[in-house]
Amino acid sequence: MPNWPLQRLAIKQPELTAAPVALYAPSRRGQAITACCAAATAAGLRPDMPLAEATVLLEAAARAPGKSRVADSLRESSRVAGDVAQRSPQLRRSGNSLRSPPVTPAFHLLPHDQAADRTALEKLAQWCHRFSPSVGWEMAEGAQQGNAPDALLLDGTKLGPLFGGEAAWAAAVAAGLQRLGLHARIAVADTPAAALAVVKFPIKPRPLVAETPANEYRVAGDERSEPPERRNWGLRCAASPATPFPPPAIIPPGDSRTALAPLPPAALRLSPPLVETLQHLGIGCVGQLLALPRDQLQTRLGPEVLWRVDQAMGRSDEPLHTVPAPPQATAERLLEFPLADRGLIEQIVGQLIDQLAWQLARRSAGALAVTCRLECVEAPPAEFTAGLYQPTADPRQIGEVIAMHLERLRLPGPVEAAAVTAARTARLGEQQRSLFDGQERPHKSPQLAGLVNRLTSRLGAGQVVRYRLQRDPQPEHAFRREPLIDTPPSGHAQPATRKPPSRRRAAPAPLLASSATTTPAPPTAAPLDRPWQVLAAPQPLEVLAIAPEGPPARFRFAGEDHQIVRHWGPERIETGWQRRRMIRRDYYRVETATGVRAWLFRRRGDGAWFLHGWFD
Amino acid sequence: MPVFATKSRPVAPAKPPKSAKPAPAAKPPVTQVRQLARLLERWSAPPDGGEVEVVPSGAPPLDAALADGGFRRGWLVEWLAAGRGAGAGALALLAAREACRTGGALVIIDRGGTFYPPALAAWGVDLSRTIVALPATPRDEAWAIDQALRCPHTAAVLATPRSVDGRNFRRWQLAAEATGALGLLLRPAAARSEPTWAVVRMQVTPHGAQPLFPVATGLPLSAAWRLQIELLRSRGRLHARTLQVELDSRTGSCHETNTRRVVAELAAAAPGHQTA
Repeated sequence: MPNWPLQRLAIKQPELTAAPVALYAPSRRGQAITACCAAATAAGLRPDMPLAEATVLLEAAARAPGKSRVADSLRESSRVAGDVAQRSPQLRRSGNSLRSPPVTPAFHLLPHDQAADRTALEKLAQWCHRFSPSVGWEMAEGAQQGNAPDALLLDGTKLGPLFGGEAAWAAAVAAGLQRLGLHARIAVADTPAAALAVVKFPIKPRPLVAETPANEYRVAGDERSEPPERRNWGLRCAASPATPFPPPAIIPPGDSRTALAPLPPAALRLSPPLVETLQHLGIGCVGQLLALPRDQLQTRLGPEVLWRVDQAMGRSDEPLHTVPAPPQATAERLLEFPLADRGLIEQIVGQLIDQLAWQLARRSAGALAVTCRLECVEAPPAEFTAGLYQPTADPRQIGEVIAMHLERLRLPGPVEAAAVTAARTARLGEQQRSLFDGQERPHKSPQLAGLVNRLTSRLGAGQVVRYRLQRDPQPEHAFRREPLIDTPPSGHAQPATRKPPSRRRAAPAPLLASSATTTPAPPTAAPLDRPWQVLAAPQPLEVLAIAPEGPPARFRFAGEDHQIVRHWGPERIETGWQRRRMIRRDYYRVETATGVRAWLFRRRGDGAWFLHGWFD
Repeated sequence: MPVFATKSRPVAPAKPPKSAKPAPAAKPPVTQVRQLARLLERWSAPPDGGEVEVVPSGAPPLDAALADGGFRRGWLVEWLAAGRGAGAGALALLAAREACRTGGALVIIDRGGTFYPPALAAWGVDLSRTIVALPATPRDEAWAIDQALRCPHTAAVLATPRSVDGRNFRRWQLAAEATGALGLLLRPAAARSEPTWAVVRMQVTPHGAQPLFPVATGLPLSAAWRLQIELLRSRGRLHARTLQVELDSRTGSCHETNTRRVVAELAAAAPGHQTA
């Protein structure tokens, strides 16, 4: 019962969740049902049922409770998601009788689009690349038998430690799928075949899960284990938080035999005639099949049984039909004649950016860093990476940033090829243009992002920053600078004059957050406690007249004499011993005879005086 | 003028015989004149009409002295500091804080990297909505100011350009006018002789402590900082005006100097002059 088609539809058309859904497709006997949701199943629908019969059943189910209720239930469609969880057990209890459930909304009978299912699954497989480097889907045999693949296989070899255990890895996959609104059954097993068997036949594994709770296992990371997921019906469950996501079944290494034993032989993906033969022989589960002598299996039932058994037990290899990872968006151009004219090169790069932006937009991704590479004749290629503040697929924004780098780039020779690649991408957020754009959410403003992009490309990556306060007694360390764009350092074309400031964190700076999300250490100082402009480093003062207590009566700085008439302090600032250079200072705010205010301190070790800032 | 006078009567009878063709030719001048009149009206109206939002400067005495009751968005405002430690920055920070109150980002173009963030936060500047650019050269600085002013979601740009050539200044002015960003420029007093495109220019001088004060300190003086603002240029007020303001050290609020309290303090500070 492949319900992937229904899940796909449910995401595309959420309104369908309100009513029983069944899909039909042409078959040998005319139009037949291929997939139906639980509510439709309760109404008596089965896959392979002729379309006409299904229509009659659904109509009967819909008519019975009275037409007014139909209207009601349609109006309440928003509530239905929650209702269904309660309703479907009821339906099941009432059996397959044609007695209609208390509320039966109108039903949907839709044509089945297998190609779209496949495309959607491929997209999902590409999405799953975030969990595993190789993602495959179910073997092609499934397609031969007439049902489209509805399971994905993720190679989890040695991935456990990265996620903190295989259980955690499976949980991460589950959580990710749940966020997408999908409902998946997940199993981790030694072989793809075993994992597929466990997810495809979930009726029996209940005792298995009970006897081997998933979270007790610590699976060795070097085992090859693959969790296929299968989207079972879950059309509604996915939307309703009331139904929990089934916990991933984790079969410990070497335990495939026990795990598979209670499953029916069909779980081994045997061909239907073979399954029928086994049934005639009275073999009801895999355990019975495995108990038979191996050589007799071969002679009596043919090679297929052994082949499938070996695949499940890991005795023979099974190739993974992988879905290629989404390729990096890139656009390149080889030039017939090397170009030295900057204008032409810029024009070509501009065209490449247009192509790149189109590629990005097609996969609804935005570039966070764009690498431009210019191959030069008889010279090393010129390459630079420009960072962007927000993911964007706007050719104008990307072009602006690239152009700024380009205009300062020294080309070692004529250019013979150019390539523009999106080095880092992120999902493009939906940007809704509000009426009072920028007033409510300035941090989301694309214009501000553009400003940050432009400033960063010209001034350098570490030169456009945001300040964050941090609790540190030493005034110099009471804040830190966070670059708004983190560009990976690239060897070429970085302006040599920029000295990157001490960067404490390498993670990309988050968006300009609203004030609600960033609550810096609350400043306890009063406005006039600290100068708003400080010297790069405290400067020693020439003290002309000392006072017995407090700051000097007169001091000289930069050739000017200052007479102190008022002062506030001392404010003693000491750093702990754990600092390599311990700081012990007495700070004074002073006002001179001319009314000028300054911030001085006395080093407590030797009593030397320093000027730290002016109240400019 | 005679043309207009004759338009109503004598020309009207003369028109019909001129057949259909001259009639449309005669009308365009009228519409053109109307258009011109409308254009003139627009030109002669105050350039920013009544719709442009007025942002309080953060210093009520200054607001009172300005014809608009504050700064209009899209203006350039210049503070000239009489020297180091003169307090002009405090007034600029107050204005920046007020400008960002209703949203938008504050962009600080800080060439020397001298702004001290904890103090900005203490003045009420929202650091999470502040973008700081650290240009290395005056050219980059001028460019960055221009870019920041050109961004529609910038509420205010705070910069400390030392010398500005006329072209850049004019460019900033146009950029600010186009986007409605408030340009706050902190400059040295030496810039006083330079031409300016700022709408408001003022010089801030700290009010020297009175010579009566003994050098011995620790007196229960108000910690308020007395500053003198000399309005050198402002729209609607052609004469230079001088304001005396006080910055409260605890709240950072700015108010007019309370002369009576000053006298009381003077009296308290000088025991020999208690009768004064």
